[in-house]
Amino acid sequence: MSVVLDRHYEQVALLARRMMANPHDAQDATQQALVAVVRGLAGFDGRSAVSTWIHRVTVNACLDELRRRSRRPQPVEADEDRSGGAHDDQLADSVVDRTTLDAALAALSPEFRAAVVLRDVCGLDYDTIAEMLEIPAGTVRSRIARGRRDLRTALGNLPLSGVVEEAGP
Amino acid sequence: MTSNDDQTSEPGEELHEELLAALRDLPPVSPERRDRQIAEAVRHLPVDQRHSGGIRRGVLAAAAVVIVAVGVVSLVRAQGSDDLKASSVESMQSGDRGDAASAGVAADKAERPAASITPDAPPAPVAGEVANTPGPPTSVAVPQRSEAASVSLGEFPTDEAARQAMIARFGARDSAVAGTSSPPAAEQPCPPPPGGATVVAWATAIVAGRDRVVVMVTAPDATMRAWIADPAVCVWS
Repeated sequence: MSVVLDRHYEQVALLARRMMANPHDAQDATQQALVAVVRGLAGFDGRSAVSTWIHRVTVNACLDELRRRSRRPQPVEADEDRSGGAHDDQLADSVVDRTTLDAALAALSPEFRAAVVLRDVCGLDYDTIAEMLEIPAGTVRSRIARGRRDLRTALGNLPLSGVVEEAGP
Repeated sequence: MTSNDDQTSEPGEELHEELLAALRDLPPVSPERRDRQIAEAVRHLPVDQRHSGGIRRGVLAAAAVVIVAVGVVSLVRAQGSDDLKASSVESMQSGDRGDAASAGVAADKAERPAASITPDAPPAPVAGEVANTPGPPTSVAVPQRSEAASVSLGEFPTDEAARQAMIARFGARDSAVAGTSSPPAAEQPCPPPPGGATVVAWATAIVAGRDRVVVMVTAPDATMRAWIADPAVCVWS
């Protein structure tokens, strides 16, 4: 079992980190996902790749965690770097500030965020994402497009020059 | 979602390379935290299903860790009428593996208390299975689904006899010696793992609604694989 977890830990942690608003929530979600993998392995039906299944478990764990946290008051973090406008110029020609990026991702709805993260962070194809999120592929494309648009808007309208071309599913 | 949620056009707002890089760039989790989280997760397994240490011993020496889920024939057999209660596991590749196979069944029985051994029962034929497989046929009654809910997860036996038995049963060579794993043709409805593999652990699980034995294997090509015995659900993943 630990071999399975070892093999997939980084992807689980990365996915959780990008799905959740802060590192502490991500750690909680990662733990929940690992436990869910352990408990769910017996029910793994073998019809999808193990990695796809683990991604799905992780996304569900993150969404559950997000739902739980939405029902609780959240502490306010005073962080000057979260103001987007002052960073617009930097974002256009330099590495995106990590804190700002966290804030921008957090501003996306969980559905859009999941689609964008699975596509642009995890590099999964549309069909796989559709299978994982149990939504049509067209919906996946829509959510990715709108999530990216919102992300770019939140980060100060990064220029489209230098975009990474979509290879397609 | 909004009305255009199901639009099928390609996403048109590709992300800037720097943004993509930033999205993927995160500080690595410390090994200590990683190990702690994995241990915590494994702690949620029933006690008899925890074998992380053993698996690590056998596996982590290899640089590339690959999991191959190998389903070994688990045939739900009709005994009498349509009462599907038993399943036979065709385990032998050749006659000289008879003792090993018996021991393998014994080892499996030890891990799965609900199973019963019926050595005289002939194995049920499987689609694609070679009928004239030599060696004494061995049948293992597999618990019905309600019983199989108590899935056992065991590390690959370190005891040499049990180890050899498991190797024979799952059709995998002792890769610690041979460096390859290749299920015998008679039990190979799916392609073998490419480039050889090393059996490191096994488990019973319900796969696609049927009881199966899953063998975890490391392979040198560093890809995750899953082998399920039933051709209908045979996947390399």
